[in-house]
Amino acid sequence: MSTTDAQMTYDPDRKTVVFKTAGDVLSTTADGLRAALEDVLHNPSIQAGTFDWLEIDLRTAHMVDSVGLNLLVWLWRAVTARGGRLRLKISSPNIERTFRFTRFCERVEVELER
Amino acid sequence: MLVVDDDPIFRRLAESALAEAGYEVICAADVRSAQAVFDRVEASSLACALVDYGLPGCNGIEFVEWLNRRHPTLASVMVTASPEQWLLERSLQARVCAFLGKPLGPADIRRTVARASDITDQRRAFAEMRYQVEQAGKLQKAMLDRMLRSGDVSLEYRFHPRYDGSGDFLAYHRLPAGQDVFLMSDAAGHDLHALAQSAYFHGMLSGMLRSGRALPEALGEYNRALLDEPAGQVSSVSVSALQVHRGSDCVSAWNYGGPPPVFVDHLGWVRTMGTRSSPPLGWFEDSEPTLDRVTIPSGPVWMWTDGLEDLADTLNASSLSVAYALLEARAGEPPQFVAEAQDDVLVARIWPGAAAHARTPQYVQPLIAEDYGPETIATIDHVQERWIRSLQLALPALSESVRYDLVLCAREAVLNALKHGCSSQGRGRFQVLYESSRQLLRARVWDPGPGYDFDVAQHTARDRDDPVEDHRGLLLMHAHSPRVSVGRGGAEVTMEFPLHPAKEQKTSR
Repeated sequence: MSTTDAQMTYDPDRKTVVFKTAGDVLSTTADGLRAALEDVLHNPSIQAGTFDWLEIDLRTAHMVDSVGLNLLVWLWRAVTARGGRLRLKISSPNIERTFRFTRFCERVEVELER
Repeated sequence: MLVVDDDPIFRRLAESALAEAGYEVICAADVRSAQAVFDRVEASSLACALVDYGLPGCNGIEFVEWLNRRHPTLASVMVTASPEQWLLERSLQARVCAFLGKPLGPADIRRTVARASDITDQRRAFAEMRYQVEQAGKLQKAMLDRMLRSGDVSLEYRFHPRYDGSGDFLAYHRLPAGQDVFLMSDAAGHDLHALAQSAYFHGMLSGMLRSGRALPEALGEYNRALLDEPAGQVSSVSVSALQVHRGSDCVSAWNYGGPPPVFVDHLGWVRTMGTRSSPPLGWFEDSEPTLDRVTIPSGPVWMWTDGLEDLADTLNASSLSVAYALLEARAGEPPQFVAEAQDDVLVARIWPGAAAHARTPQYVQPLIAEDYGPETIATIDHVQERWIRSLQLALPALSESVRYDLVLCAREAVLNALKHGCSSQGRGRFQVLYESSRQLLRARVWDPGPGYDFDVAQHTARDRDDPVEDHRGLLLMHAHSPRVSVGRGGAEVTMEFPLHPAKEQKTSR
């Protein structure tokens, strides 16, 4: 996935950086998504540590595999290191199960929108 | 010749012009009397109908449409005093084959009617040929049915010819020595030529086998017969032959260019008997089949023609899943996807050595069996799509969550095998089996590598304390499959997926 597939916005009221991805988070898409997320981490409010949340909108994803999950773990580390928290918005109950089975949902906030 | 016009002068003109050309002419002044002509005259004796548009009661187009419904091969010519564009278009829609504006001379009438008469002849010849093909197709289906149901063997089959007749056929023979022979053949093409070739092949093979010739010898004989065909007549027949030796509890397979038979061995792996790497009969003098001989399997043997493989490719699904979906469908009610077939499709599930109506043991149905090399890593998304499609076709009621678990775990296991267990020479194996008796799916992945010792419990505990990046795939497999067993030091993984899992409360163990 390239950065052009995704959208980034900043909501100053909620002190939240929102990043929208397109499609699944898999071994075959993770490299492109990582590059886009590195750009997100360069967002001024994240750099300055003035944000509270980084919200990743994964609602178009139907599957997250191990490489995709590792990418999200890497992002979680980067965000917490900058003093923020990570929220994952998803629409797939299957992905929610992956986050629950692996206890990743105890580290990040998972919002399942059916 | 039928002339329908309310103008007596035109009727007289047409009658005399056509009588001069040798036609016997029947005239009618309106539609009702024209329709009544068919009560006393055989429609097949008419060459065409010359119809005026402006008739009393109902117009000429309506009469032509009535003719099309009742006697669709009879060509009609529309005549009118007002040859306008809209009427021409309406006439064409009504399949009128010529359109004439009055006034007309005798020569115009004769020329047009001669052309229309030719069209009637062509339509009748085509209809007759169509009928003959239908009859041949019906006979072929009846023969197939009679042959496979009359023998004391246990088998199921589905036959979906592309057209009425087909080059595919399955024959069963019981040889005097107590051996059962199943011959699945596919004559090149799916037309009448293929049907005739197929009938000839099975007739000749039947005669040779019944007169004591051994199967390989009979196949070799037919190969020579095909090669002796006149120049320009290139025919070939792909054959998959299964011979059950009841005395020695063995099954032999000979394969000439067709998909090889498939069964599940005693270790639970899907196996093919022989390969496709042999040419069909009719190509070369020295054609050699691929051969295999195994102990009679406890489950069935699947055989199909290459039309099924083409259909599977079109559907982006595995051949085994398509075979299963076809065999599980009620006879005479094929699944909708059959309409996408571009070739004849014949598939059979045979229980070697079992008598007809014998209670067959529970067996494992393979749905996917594929080999992959490292090149598959780049195309894994496409491969994954095929797994999903295969499961949808074979088990349409399968829940999305179970399908997700299987596909996710399969993706992890296959990628792991390809990255760590397969060299450029060695290939990994992936299979999905369906156990209907236990209502579960089993996914198996095998690679030729040395394996890897992995302590799930220790790794999971470490991951719980602080998420780790290594071996995430193995953790996911253990998380999404309720039962994962590992063999050959990790180079073989089997994962089970109940179709109706207990209400889950699962978190990483």
